[in-house]
This record gives sequence, C-alpha cells and structure tokens, in this order.
Amino acid sequence: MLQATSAVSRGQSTVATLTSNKRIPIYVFFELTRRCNLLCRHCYLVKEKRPELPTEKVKAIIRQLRSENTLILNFSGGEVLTRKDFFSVAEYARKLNFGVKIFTNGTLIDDFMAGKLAELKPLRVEISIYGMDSKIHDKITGVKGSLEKSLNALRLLRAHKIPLRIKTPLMKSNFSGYREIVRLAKRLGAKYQFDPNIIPKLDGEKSVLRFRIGRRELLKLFQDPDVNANEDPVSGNSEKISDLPCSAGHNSCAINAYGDVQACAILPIKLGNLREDRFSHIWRNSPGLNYLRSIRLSDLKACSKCSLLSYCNRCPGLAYLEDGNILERAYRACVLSKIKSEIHE
Amino acid sequence: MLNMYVSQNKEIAYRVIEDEAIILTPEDGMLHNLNPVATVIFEFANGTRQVKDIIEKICEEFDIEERVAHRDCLNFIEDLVHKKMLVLSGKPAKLSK
Repeated sequence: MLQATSAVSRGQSTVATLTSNKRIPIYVFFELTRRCNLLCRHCYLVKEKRPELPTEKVKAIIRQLRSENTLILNFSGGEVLTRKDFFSVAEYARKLNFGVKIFTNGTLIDDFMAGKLAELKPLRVEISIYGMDSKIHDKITGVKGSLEKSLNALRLLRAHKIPLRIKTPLMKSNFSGYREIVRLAKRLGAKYQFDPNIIPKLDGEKSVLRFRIGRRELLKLFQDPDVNANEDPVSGNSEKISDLPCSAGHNSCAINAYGDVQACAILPIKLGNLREDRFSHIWRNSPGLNYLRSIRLSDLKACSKCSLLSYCNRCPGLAYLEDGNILERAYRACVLSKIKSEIHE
Repeated sequence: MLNMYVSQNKEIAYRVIEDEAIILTPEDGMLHNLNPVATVIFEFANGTRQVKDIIEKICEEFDIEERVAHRDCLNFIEDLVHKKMLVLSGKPAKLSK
C-alpha cells in the first residue's frame, strides 16, 4: 500500500509544523483573572482598572476558539480559583472537548474542590512551590501559611489521581532548597520544572530582576541530571518549528483577563480585544500578528550568526520586555547559552 | 479481533482539520496527527461498528485492495488501542440520543 493511503499516526513535531503552517491556534493560554490571594514578590502581572471578562463573554470566547480548532486551553491567573465561575467555565470547556490545563497556587483547594477538579479530568494541574521551608516560601508569596496550604493541595490532588506539575521560579532566596522540591515531586509522582528566568513586569518595570540567580547557581542547575532529564511533553507552544524564533502567534496565543489577544502571555503587544472583535478576525487580520509571523530566525541579525545558537532558548517575549526589541539579543538568553556551552564544551 | 467493536476513548480531545485529525492523549498530554485514511478509521469508530466493517469502509472509500487494507487497518487499530485512543469491546456501544 502506498504511504499516502496507509493509516498513519504521526507525532508531536508534525503537529507543531502542521498547525503552524495552517495557522491553527491549537494551544491558547487563557488568563481568567488577575485577582490573586498571594502577593508574590516576583510576579510579572500588573493589575489594571479595566473590568475583567464576565462569565458569558468567557464562554463565548471559548466557543469561538472551538470554531478555530483550538484543542488545549491553559487556564491561568492571578489565581483562577478566586473566580466564582471557574468550574462553570472549565466544565463548559470540557463539554466542548477541549483538553484543559490549570495553573493555580493551590491555597484555596480543599478536599471538595479537589474532587471537583478531578471530575474535570484536566490534562494537569500546576502549582508553584518556592521551597520546602515555610520561611522561604511564605516570604516569597507574602502570605504566611501559604506553603502549608499549597502542599495540602498537592496531597489532595494526588489522592484524586490528578496529574500534577510543581513549578519553581528560582531566585537567590530559594535556590539552595531546590533539591528538596525534586524529592517532593518524586514522592508525589509529579512532574517538576525550574525556571531560572524571572520576568520583568508587563509594564516594563525591571526591579524584580534583582531576584534572579547568577552564574554560580546556573552552573549547578544546568549540571544537575535530575533537572535536565525532566522532559515535559505537555508544553503546548514549546515545540520548535524550523526557521521560526517561536511558535507564539503561529499555532498558539494568549488571552488576558481583560480580553486582549496577545501572541504570548509575556509579549504584551495587544493584537486586538475580544470585547470589541471576534477571535477569528483578530487571528486572521491583526497587522501586529502578521508582523510577528513574518519574523524568521534569519531576521535576528545578531542571533542567527551566534556561535551559541544551538544552546539558546531565546524567548521573544523576554527580549521585548527586558531588552526592548523583539529582534535583538535577549540578554538573559545570552547568559544562559554561554553557561550551557561552557558545560558542554 | 475482526468481530470486536471499536470506539473512541471518551477521555480524549481531538479536532479534524482538513481531513486530518489532531488527537490529544490525556495520559501523556501528547498531540498526534492522523493522516486522512487514519482519520476515517478513527471517526468511524463509534462503538457500533466492528473492525471488519471499518476495513470494508476503507476499501470502498480509498479503492484499496482488501488484503492490504486488512493488514494495515489491523496494525493501525492495534496501535491506537495501545496508545489509548481507541477501545475494543465484545459488545456494541449504545449510541447516545
């Protein structure tokens, strides 16, 4: 039988290329609120005075995304569980056959709520843990007792057999305890992810960058086999597509709590607003989006010729927020690439 | 296997884009792409059809020799059962109203 008429199942990278070529927003990061019951010192979000999207508008947007063949919805905040309509919205998304991921700090989850989350059958729930010492974790979140509540949520969700991921933005104040988080994740059968990049606030304010870990910590982190072996397939937009600096805007995008459509949650270039326009119109016609889609690796003059390119995970959003130019070097990516190259060469 | 009934795993989320299915398997969160032949098989698996019915359908739709369709369909269905996209049962499923 010819290949063209054989029944064939192909993998993740084929899907990334296919959806990118056909401009299918297969993965959408949907920020449901900026309200939060924690006060994390490194948070990149900025609260605005505009009203957040009401329930029926959120559901209307989900219907529009269904028409555009979006398959994965990543509900995030703020703290999503501060929205009283969270389960109404998430159940609606599941009813329309979306795969759903949920980012939460876990502090509002009790056994009843863990059961309700289990009924949703999410792809995964992701919770940030900054350290196993409450003095460290609670100092970062700004709320006493938050570590205990987040750990309790992890135990409850585990008991309900919900797939979990523990996420840890690494800072100077919590780096020394990251191995304890690896052990916690392994005990719970959870995935884990350490992020060495603290992101400037969406309004460009950079004082949070003082929390970032430095060279000594990065060298240790990148040489830790436990950390680097922790491959995570449910990444939505992390699949590399040939000649594109990033898949954002090609097969993925973000919607913020006010209805703004962006290529990515940390690329605050407003492409349109869903209170004023339909998603399909923004996705197909936004001049900003079409510009982003036109960018190729070769347009990054400094990066495309860089000897560290094979080590580089340059993020256009971070380049824009930190360095002010989406086409120029991303300072942080250069630092990380240099350290990775020193380890491997 | 030919007399078994085939249905889609109710847990999975999928979309069909221009004759090609993109399927999200919940256990590993992986995305899979099915070509048009595979997509017809997948969409035909509604729990009321047996494997042999699906092979017959593929022969009709794609003008494929039955012996070849038989071999390829069985291999493919086994693969998708292994990946938990399809489920086999000895009894037909009740179609929801």
